[in-house]
Amino acid sequence: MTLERPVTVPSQPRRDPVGRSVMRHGIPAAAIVLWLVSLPRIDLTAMTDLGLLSVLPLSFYAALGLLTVGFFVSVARGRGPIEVGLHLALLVLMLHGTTAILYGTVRYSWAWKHIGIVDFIQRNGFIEPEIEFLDVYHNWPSFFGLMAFFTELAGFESAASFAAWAPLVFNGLILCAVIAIFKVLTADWRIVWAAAWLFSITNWVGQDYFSPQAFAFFLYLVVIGILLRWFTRRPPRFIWSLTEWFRSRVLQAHYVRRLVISEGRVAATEQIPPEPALVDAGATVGRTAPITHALWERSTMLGLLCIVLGVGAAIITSHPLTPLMLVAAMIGLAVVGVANVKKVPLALGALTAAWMVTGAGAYVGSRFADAAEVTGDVTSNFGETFIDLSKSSASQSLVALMGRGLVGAVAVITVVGTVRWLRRREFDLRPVVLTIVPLALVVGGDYGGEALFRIYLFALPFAAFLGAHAFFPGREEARGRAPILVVAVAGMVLMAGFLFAYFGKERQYYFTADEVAAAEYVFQNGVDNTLLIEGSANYPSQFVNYERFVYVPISREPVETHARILADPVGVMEYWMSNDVDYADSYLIITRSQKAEVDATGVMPPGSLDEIENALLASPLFEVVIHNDNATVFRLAEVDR
Amino acid sequence: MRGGLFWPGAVLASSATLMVAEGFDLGPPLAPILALWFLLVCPGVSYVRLLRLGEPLTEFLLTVAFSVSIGALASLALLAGQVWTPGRTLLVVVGIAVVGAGIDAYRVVATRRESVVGVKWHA
Repeated sequence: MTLERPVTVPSQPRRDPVGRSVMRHGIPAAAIVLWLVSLPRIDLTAMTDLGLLSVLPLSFYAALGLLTVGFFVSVARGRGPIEVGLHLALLVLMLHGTTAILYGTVRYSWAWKHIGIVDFIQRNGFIEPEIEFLDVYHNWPSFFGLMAFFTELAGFESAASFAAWAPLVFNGLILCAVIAIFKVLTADWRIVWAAAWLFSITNWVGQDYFSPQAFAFFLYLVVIGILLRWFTRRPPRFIWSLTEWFRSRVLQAHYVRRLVISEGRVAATEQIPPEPALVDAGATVGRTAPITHALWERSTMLGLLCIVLGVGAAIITSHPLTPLMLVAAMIGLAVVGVANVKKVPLALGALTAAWMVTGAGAYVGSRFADAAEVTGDVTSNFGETFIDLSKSSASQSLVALMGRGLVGAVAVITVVGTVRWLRRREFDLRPVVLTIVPLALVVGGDYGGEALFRIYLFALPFAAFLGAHAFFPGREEARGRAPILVVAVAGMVLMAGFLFAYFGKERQYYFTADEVAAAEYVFQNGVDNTLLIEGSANYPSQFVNYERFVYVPISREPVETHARILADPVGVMEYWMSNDVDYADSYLIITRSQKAEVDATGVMPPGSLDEIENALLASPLFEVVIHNDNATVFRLAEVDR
Repeated sequence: MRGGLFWPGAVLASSATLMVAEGFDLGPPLAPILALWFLLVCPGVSYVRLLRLGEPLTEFLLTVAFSVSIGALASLALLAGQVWTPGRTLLVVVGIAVVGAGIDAYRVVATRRESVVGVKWHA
């Protein structure tokens, strides 16, 4: 059986009449106008349990919808990189710049804790690997050292001055990195753009805030990009035979000739080689520039290796998990025979091990026994990942289900895309390996219930690449209007899922200026060894002088303790806070965001923190240090202290 | 990436400006812009240029990644030695940037000299 299959050769953008040109630039322009019009109309105080979704005006959704349609039309019509890239840049701006512009404060409680580590370095000029609280950051401190350096250099007092913009910056850089990777994997720009879009609207797990993991993830993608571009080669014969057998026997796809289409016309026919050079220094079956190792000077390759090791060292000393993923990815590529330089994973593996026994020795040593115990235990990484839907509010259950649904949708799209890719005879093991390798994390150790999010994040760029082939299986199928419409609608459905999953918890992640002021009072005035009782850990906490406090979040206490506190809030809190043997001073802070989290997740009965707050406000045993619409800070009254 | 002596000059000028700005305790908004530019670009750009990759997006990404890595590792070294201060870190990073700019400038000049010699020889 002989089929002819067209192959796309990147063509020059056609000259369009003025009207069309206005249309092309008009869509992004209209989208940005709609977005800008939306911003002043968003009332954050009216946010419900559905997060930002509950207060976004229709014009915001219209802006995203227009952008989606404009993007896919541009891609399908083969527009130039500036035009298509503009759509992507606007998408990142709208999705990740909106909160930074609206909130005026740093979003997400963990970002504040990271600011606290930067503050520690700014004040002390050293790290304390054996510190009692948040010791993990002192054992992997490179990111915090860099941020402390930048904060001082920029003349800011605290990293809180700029950390709100971190998601926009990280997502912008990460998007550039994934585009560079996709360019290595295919010469079909439609796939590159569609994959970048797919990645952007399915990356909902929120690992893009002011954090070492976001920093390390960007560096990880750059290193993987270098490896794919310069240090991979064609797979061994048996791997090719296996994939060829799968393609021809299982998928029943037999092509012996294909058409080369340029400018919408058949330019030539091309015989498919009996053993296609799947990968040669980053080139995929005649679809990227035929760059080979011979064209690169030895000094260039050596320089690239030095950069890989330098960037790798920054990853290794910034975040505990990312170097393991990097080494695993490189081993995966080596195992299937496409890695060219097998010494690089060895070198990075040795560096990782060296850091774990030296710089991070204090942390690794103290937790080695626990880690060894759960290694191989799959359930240890699933326990805390999902919120308990039976306890959470209806809206939060919907948000959680949307997140899970998005993961499922990505899995389905990836499978469909992979099958269609195989049918195009462009199968390349590299993205498949890099999609699968992160799964090793499930059995590799305990990551506090975050393993599934991390697996998803590390697999996503390559899953998106495979999935993009589901959108654009072939030139002829994407040229008609119907497929563009279908693809755009699919894009909007995924976008809706993203908006729920990413913005659905904003009532908890958003902190008002009142909350920040109340927390700042506590952290600036607390002396060494102060007991700080918190409604929950979800508020702008620990961002200054963090090491002076001992933290007790009420929400993390056992259920029996919750019952005791709710039965007698004044009695229990007075008992806890009057412990002047163990603590030099004590505060209790209850904020709006803590209440939002406790009520949404159902860890305590709804309204629990309100009950505690009201009881303490009415009691003469407590002095109200700060009380505003969004936060209350208590101390024991002078008489009781 | 632009050839010639533009980038070595830009790195040297940025380093000098930043040192002066730090000396005069220049605050926002100029200092953050200058610091961001310096940290994202200056330490790594010269080394990436030496590779002569000729791919703008890749060069941009490598420059940013290598630059922030240099900043992070310099901070780490000083933190580990318990001698971290912003001034010392700046000196280390500027040193690395200036050495890179020097090598880059030398390469540009040497390449030009070689091409001139080649032209004369052919003539």
